[in-house]
Amino acid sequence: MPAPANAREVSTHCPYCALQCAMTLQITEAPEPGITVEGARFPTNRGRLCRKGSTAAELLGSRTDRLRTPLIKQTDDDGARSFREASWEEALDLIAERLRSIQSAHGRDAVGVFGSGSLTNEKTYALGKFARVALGTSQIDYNGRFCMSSAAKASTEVFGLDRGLPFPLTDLDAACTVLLLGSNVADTMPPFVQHLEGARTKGGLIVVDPRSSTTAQLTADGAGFHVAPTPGGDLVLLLALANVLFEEGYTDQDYLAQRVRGADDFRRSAAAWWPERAQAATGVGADQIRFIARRLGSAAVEARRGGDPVFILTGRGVEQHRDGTDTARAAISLALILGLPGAHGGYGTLTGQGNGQGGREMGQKSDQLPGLRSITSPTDRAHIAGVWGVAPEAIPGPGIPATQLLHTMGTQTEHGPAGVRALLVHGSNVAVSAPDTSRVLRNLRALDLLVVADFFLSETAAEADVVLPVLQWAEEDGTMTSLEGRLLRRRRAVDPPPGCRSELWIFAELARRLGTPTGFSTDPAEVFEEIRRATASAPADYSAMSWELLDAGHAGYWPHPATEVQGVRVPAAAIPAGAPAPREGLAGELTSTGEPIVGTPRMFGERFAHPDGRAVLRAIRPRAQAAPRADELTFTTGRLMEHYQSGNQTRRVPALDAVHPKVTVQVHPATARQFGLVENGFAVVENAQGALTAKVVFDAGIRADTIFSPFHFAGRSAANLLTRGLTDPDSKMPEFKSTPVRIRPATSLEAAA
Amino acid sequence: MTRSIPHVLVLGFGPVAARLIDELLEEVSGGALRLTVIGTEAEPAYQRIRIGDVSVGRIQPADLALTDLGALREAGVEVRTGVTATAIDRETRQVMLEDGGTIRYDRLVLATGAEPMTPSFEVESRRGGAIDAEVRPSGIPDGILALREMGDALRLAEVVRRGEPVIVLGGGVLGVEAALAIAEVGAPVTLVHRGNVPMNRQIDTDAGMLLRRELIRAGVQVRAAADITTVIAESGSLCAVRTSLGEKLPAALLVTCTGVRARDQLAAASGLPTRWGVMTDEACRSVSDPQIFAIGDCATVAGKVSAGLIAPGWEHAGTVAQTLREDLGLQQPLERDAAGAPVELAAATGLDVILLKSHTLNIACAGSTDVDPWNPDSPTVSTWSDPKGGQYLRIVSEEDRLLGFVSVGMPRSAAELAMHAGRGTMPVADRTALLAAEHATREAQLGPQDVLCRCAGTTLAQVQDAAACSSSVAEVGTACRAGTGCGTCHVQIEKLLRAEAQQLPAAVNA
Repeated sequence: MPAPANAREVSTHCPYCALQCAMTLQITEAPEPGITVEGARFPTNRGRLCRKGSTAAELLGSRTDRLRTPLIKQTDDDGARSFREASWEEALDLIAERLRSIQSAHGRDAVGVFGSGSLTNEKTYALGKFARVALGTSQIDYNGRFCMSSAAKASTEVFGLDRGLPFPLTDLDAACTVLLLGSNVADTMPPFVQHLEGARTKGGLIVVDPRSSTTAQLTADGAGFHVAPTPGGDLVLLLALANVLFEEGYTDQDYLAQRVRGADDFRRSAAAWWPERAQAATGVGADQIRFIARRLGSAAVEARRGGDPVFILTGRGVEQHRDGTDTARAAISLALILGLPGAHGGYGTLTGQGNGQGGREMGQKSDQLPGLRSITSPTDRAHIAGVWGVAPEAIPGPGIPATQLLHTMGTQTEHGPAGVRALLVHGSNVAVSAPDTSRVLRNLRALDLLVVADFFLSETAAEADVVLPVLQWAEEDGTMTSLEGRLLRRRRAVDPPPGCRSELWIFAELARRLGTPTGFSTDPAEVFEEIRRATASAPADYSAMSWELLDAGHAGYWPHPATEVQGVRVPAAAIPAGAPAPREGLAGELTSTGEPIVGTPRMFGERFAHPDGRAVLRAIRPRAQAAPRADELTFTTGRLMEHYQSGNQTRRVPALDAVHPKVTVQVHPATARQFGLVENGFAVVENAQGALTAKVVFDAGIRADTIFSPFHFAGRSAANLLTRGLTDPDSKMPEFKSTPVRIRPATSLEAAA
Repeated sequence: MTRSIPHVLVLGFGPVAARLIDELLEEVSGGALRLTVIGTEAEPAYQRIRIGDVSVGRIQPADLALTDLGALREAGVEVRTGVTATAIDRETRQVMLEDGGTIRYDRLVLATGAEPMTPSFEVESRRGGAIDAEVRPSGIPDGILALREMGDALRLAEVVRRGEPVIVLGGGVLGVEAALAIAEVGAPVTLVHRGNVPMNRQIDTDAGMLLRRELIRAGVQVRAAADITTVIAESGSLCAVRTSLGEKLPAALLVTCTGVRARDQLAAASGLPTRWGVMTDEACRSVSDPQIFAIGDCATVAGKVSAGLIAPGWEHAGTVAQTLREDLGLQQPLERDAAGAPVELAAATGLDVILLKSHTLNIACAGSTDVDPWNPDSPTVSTWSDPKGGQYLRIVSEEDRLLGFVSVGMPRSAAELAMHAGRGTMPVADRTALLAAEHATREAQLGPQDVLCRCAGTTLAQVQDAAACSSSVAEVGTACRAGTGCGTCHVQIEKLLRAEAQQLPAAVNA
């Protein structure tokens, strides 16, 4: 569509998922103010956008539901709660005063901070610094604990480093075989599907999902295979595949000997899961297990002989479990025994949130400091302390992870120490997105102080003592790091409504009131310069990245360390010809849309990130599961094409809301008949945590023992009313994807409610 | 004050003992526990249940290794293989060894497994074709084995490799698995069993009839309702057997799969109560001596006699590890939910599932399916039977309890029902949904004009032509370009090459 003559164009990226599709905003001021969104040429989206992206601009401009002034909760004589508008001065004074009094009465750790994978790198970095320096609390974590923690933990343990895709997404295009586990990309990030086209034309897309999801349907007509294990069966399925690959000689013995430690330990643990035995834990037939293993194995053998590469990718479907880390570790192990990573394809996890990658690097994780540094490492603490201008011992230690933080806040249980008494929430809607939302809501209400920064009144903001209106994507400058570890510029296209402020400004103002007058810049470009210093020589090294490089059209992949040239630290891109090549970055390589690449687009070509350069495998033994009882089904959750996360944004876009306005539950027709459910009628799904009333949708493609609901809906429609606070012992990821429940037809009263 | 470190002694070093050791490894390497394991076999623990695959050369012994001796010893476990215990002195808490040594224990875990019951045969010894009056001292000729230990498997592998005739005696799971595996690699094999149909103790007669037919189709000679009465030896080595039907069958090897019994003699001799195994409570603790536990095939846990399956044995190992920790004050941290409350996982209350290990025939069963569907007092029975299609499925349930199932030639249903039986959950009430899943995921068989290699666009017919004058995948690739792209069709090309070599028609799945 040609731009109107008076339109101004701004290049930026989508506000939603980690694919970070490039888009061009065309802004007209007259005769009518308006913004249109066009997909732009870019490697991940190739000009395409999904419905969420193409309607993203509807949330900009002067909407009646946009928060535009701070709100303070008030209670009238009858105890009814409402909000009154307040000035920033009053709101910030109130927050600072309450924080001070809570901390002086109960200690610094009585205040918690909850961040988000939707915040820019700059805001994320500032949030972590604010918590540890201005508040002096260890109690900070973020909603990425619910998304990426299992895969991140597994990648760190096996590879020594966590970058979601350690290769550019476009490398998938050449694949002959892609094993995609627990990810419905066709709905969650539709432009991604273009990169599966190569594997599909070669018949090599293998999708593992208990549902015949839109993505699983891409395997039809000879494009590949769909395998449907029962929820919770993924780990055993992967071990059984490994078992067949070992026994039938598909593994890469040279690669294992040279690049991997512990392969024998892993092999012995996989030996316990021969295909016939694995059937009983997965619901997948032994013949199918052997078939998929051979397909994968022969493709890998061919790839090692110079054929097309093979990739193994995981998503939340296999990671959001009590054994999510082991499952991700098993998927990585499978890639390693086939000799793929850094050589003939590889393993990747598909990051979900827009800045889900940068969000887990910049220091808002309870156990990490910026650059993926460890909060318990003396050298990492010393480096960050130097950048922050504080003593290393002034930086608090590790805090408690997100689910534990939310499930203990505001309460004193008989099982442990009291949780935090105040919580600051940024870019997250925990009243919808956390497991066991009834408990979360109860705990939010029990807090002495809840402060929520958002641009719409989310379900969490509605519970707050103070609500702070902040900026949206197209109203701010900053950077995001996409699912392939590429740093991207988010650009300010329009002015925010007067009254809204950036978090950077809020942190600076609160820090000043709390007695830390310096160190909190309100300029994102300045914050990025600090990020460069903070991440220098860290695993996620941004020290040679700059906004200038990005604005000049470079594609920057971390790590991109500044290199010493004649004693001066200069960006690697500026190193003259003949100087040592900057790590594994390919000098002269362009992206598929022609941007010069700097940094490290592909990792692990020579070595893995452990000190000895080897990847580390170990034995994986599945633990006992919380299996359903005879009268129960397994409840699993996921996303719809039309909605994003807790729906706080997308439920406000009429075009999206109209497609899927209410929560549904997908049920196999035979299961529906057994439980007396009718299509388009209402069902109550319940367990000890709570009950969900949802409209019944028949789906002959879902396993008969499994039911599915999307998690984008709030209140009595929240799927997380049913999920539990069971977490993975390694990553502390909650078990979202496998919950035993009962189902029954709703009474007419329940259906009408 | 130094507290003495408790010592756990494990007798037996099979897969169940290996699991127990794994469970306790952290405590041992942390110095909280001393652990000694005594194994009679020279090899450390291996996946015994799968030695059938070794016996046909499909996998190597190393594939079945369960432990790394070096790592165990480094962690502090004392491992002694090739040593047999001769007595247990419960009074002094000592175990006597054949080499005269003794080992004191604080807790003793018996994981001695089971031993095969070898039937007795009349022996007809010949030398140079004539009856030999000088019978070997043992009376039993060389060439009869029970397929219980790795040595047996390697011996059988040699005979199978040479293509010499093998007789398998016994129509239970092990006998059927062994006969099928031998036939699958193309060696001559005869299955002799007593019942009217094979696996008659596990599956109903109709399923057994189909199994019999599928065995024959797979190349197994079957002699039903028969026994072996006489073994015939030439110069001390087995050369033939005579059946109760009067038939003489040539045999280079006779594999007896006629059942096992718990190896509980040591326990019995020390005065521990035994009944088809060492009698224990639910926690695998001896009913008479709280310091002694029994796990796996040598144990009768809470009255339940071992069925020779590995899964219950591994569960025993987990149970005993937990009990030992509690006994010895080594409690592991409890799993807690996010709010700090201890997590209690309901134990699965399912059936023991039998999953036949075979590359060609899919059979799974559990519980009992020998029920008359027309008897009004019978539980609910659903049956799907298509003998010519090679399919049979029977599900028996009562209210919300699965009592048993058998599935032959229906891999999706087998997997689903095995899962439900193991967990104690119910398959969907409308059983036709299982059949639909069977259909939905069945791989289509390619027709001659269907593309086999998608990269090169080569059809099945073209690849077959190429395979007729080729001996390797690479040669097929040179001839018709098939398999030169992504390589995922190599398995199918190899199958065509094998079929071509044997002059057999081959069905190729997409």
